[in-house]
Amino acid sequence: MNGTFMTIPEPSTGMMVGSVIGAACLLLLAVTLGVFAKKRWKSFDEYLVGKRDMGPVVTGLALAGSFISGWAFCGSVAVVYKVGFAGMWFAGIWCLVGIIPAIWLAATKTREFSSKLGATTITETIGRRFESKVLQTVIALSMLFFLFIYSVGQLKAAGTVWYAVTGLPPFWCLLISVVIAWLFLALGGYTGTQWFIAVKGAFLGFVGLMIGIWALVYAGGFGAISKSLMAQNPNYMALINRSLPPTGVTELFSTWVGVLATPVIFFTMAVGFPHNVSRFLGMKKLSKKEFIVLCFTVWLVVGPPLMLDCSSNGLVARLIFGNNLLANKQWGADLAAPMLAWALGGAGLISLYVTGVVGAALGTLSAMVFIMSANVTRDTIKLWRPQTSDRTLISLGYFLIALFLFLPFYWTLENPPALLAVFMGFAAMGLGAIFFFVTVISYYWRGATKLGAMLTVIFGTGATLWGGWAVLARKPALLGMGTMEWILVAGCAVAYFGGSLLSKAPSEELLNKLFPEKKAAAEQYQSSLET
Amino acid sequence: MEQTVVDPTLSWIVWGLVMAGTFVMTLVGTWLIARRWEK
Repeated sequence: MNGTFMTIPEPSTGMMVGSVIGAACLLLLAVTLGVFAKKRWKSFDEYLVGKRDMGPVVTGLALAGSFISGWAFCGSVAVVYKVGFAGMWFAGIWCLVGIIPAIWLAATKTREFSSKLGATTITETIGRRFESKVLQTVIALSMLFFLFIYSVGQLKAAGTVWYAVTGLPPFWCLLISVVIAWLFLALGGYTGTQWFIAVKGAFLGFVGLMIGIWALVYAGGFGAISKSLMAQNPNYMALINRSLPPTGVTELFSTWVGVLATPVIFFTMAVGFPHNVSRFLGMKKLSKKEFIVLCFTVWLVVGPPLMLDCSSNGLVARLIFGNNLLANKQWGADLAAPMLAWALGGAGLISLYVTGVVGAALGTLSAMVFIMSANVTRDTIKLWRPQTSDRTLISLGYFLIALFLFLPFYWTLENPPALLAVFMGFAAMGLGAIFFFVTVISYYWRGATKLGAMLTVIFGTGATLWGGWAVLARKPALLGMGTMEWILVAGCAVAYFGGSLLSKAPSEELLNKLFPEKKAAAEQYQSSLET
Repeated sequence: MEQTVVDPTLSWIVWGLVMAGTFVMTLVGTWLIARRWEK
């Protein structure tokens, strides 16, 4: 360890007690919200989507909370700490470029389409949009696959931070968290999940903004950060770090192709993530004022707090700790965010941070697990065996939620992924590229067909798997992660538009119901021709 | 590690432009969509 910089502190009683109290309050709140939400649903449909009466503030906070994951609060700071300034492009400086367009493009349309089609999940909305049971099943399986991979990283963030602060193995922390998550998911369903994620979103916005500004002040401003990092290695202050390999993951930090892919990654994943778009399923019909409130709520929570956390915090962590965090072989750079909180505000701030990151992990994980469970119950079993009773589906849902919580829990303990941000980034790319087209573009393009959607899912899933091998597994890497993003997005676009242009659209009756404004415009045009 | 010529001031200017640009763009975009809400 280098004595010029701070070293990893030993966990103190204050850190341990504060964190345990914070996490206990959070988990108690989760169960309480679950108990209250239990009174709000009586049928399987209401369990899955509530009463479609959520206001813009709750919806906005829930969207922000769903988007701010364990990765955003932990892994992104680790990337910047490890790579330097160039890491910001992938670490989250484009958060608003993704999440605000998600509202613009998907909020009212998701509510409108799901309501008109009587659908309770995104998968069901898409299946009915294209009048295809097979497509709905294929999408459910693809979504399940990607969400499962993505869910693993959520628990790693919580485990890392718990270890860093308490010094205890993460087993009990993770186990208690998943048991609590199961409780509030089973009790509260969609409404309980939405409420919990909303509270967590507001809390993360507050903690994130505080740490982001505090870190810049503590460091002594931009000049002091530059001075320290230039002394450590000038490459840490480069906009594009060309000393890193141009293929593999590091392409995102070392070439223009990689750097320019990063806003595309954030845009497609924010707009395409099923657990983000699902936040709009239970939303009320918005007025103009409520739409502005929705956008501004998300802007406030995700904007300044998260963009600071994802960019400058990693640099300040490097200023404080130098390379010393990398001396910990198990968690390494992932310690950057919690150790920064400790360096800034001691036991008090790190306790708040721990509470925030446990909430971040638990909230986003819950949103994903809820969808994964519905992928099986509603989108597969109910679809092919409609006579299955609500009671059976709810009981099966309880079991599946437990299973989908347990598997990432086990995998995290037995085989932790090497670098949290990278691991989750690949699943995120696949999810984003596929569902940006299949979900959101299908809200706007009348000509989209089930063949186009099916080809997009097949290509996107296959390309993501191949990309995992070519970019992450193969030594040396065959190509870079940024190039892979361009291949994914371009390939999905070709599959979606090409497949749609070559095949027959759904029935006129359905399309006129979903696109009334286009029907009215066509009638107006026809009548103007006749007169 | 290969050393490159780095100007930290330029890095922070680009950082500031990206931050300010995305803040403003998202607010203006929301305003433009809200203006057309009735239509």
